[in-house]
Amino acid sequence: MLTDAQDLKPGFPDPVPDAQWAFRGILHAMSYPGRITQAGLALTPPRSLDQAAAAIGLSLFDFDTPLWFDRPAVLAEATNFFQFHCGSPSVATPGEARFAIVSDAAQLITLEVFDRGTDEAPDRSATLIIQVPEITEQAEGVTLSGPGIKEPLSLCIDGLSTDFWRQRRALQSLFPRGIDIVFTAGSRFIGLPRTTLVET
Amino acid sequence: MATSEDFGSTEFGDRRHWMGLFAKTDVGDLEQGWANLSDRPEYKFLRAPETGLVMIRGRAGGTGQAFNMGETTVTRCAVKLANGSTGHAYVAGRNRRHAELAAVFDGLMQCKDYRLMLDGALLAPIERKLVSRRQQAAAKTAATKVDFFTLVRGEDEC
Repeated sequence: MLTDAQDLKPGFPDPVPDAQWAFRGILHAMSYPGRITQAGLALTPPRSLDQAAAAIGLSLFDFDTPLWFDRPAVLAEATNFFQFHCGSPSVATPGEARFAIVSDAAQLITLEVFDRGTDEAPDRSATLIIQVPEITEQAEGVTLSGPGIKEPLSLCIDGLSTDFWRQRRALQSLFPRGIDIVFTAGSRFIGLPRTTLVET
Repeated sequence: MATSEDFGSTEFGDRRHWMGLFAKTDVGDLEQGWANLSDRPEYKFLRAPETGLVMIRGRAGGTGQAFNMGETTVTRCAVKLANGSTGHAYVAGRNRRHAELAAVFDGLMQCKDYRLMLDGALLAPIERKLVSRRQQAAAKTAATKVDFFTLVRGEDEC
């Protein structure tokens, strides 16, 4: 107890307005899939965690949301961070997690292991927070369309495995079940809810 | 130290002991102790003081099934001192400054140098005060003790 708390980083400097601001950003990102949103907060994230991922976690996680980390050793500080500030337990099985934090998307095990909810309760599915090196708006990337997107838009998301988009497309037919994804790169993030159609 | 707060001398026991003292004493004692400190370290909040509710559980007669007795207001705080140690505090009531200072002193007590100094200068007087307060309350309560007994009513003899 005396040692493992040494690396703890403070949470939001001003918890209520900062959490509201971050929550507003998440709403924005999820309502306009693919639109790059700034977390823009004075927040020092734990080691190996993006600032945006830390802000999203601090505003959404609580004791009811088991977390799964793709690389527990690398993300040990983040695990402590969310346990301390949000009271979130971490689980070893991805299927039990409400939120998953993925720091190395290229090595991500298949999307099929995550909870997609049920037809009666599709909201009880997992949300993935995937950290990537860079997100850029450019024509040669994937094309997104669907609710919240007026004109199909193209994005290039670095660091994903080649199979990722195929797996994501396979989930589209399951609607209303599915998995919501947030990609973060530093303080920038985009939402990729289950309603968005992806073409590569 | 013949108080009920004495949990032994393991590392956690000691810490539990001083955290209890800092939480139960008056905030004035901690302010005084902080003012008397010659070398006041910088610190920042890991968790700024925040007030919430905690369920108190009890056992009827001290031995029965645990039941929820009621909720109490608790203010908690966590600080990180410049020297790297982390202090935590949970204090009954809504006094944020009390929680802050209790957390700072918890952090200081984990450093050997401060601990040697604070043990005599701050901890001992607080403990004396709390023990005497407890004894006073116990004496006051004991004076109101009522023994119930039944007189022989002589029913058997009729």
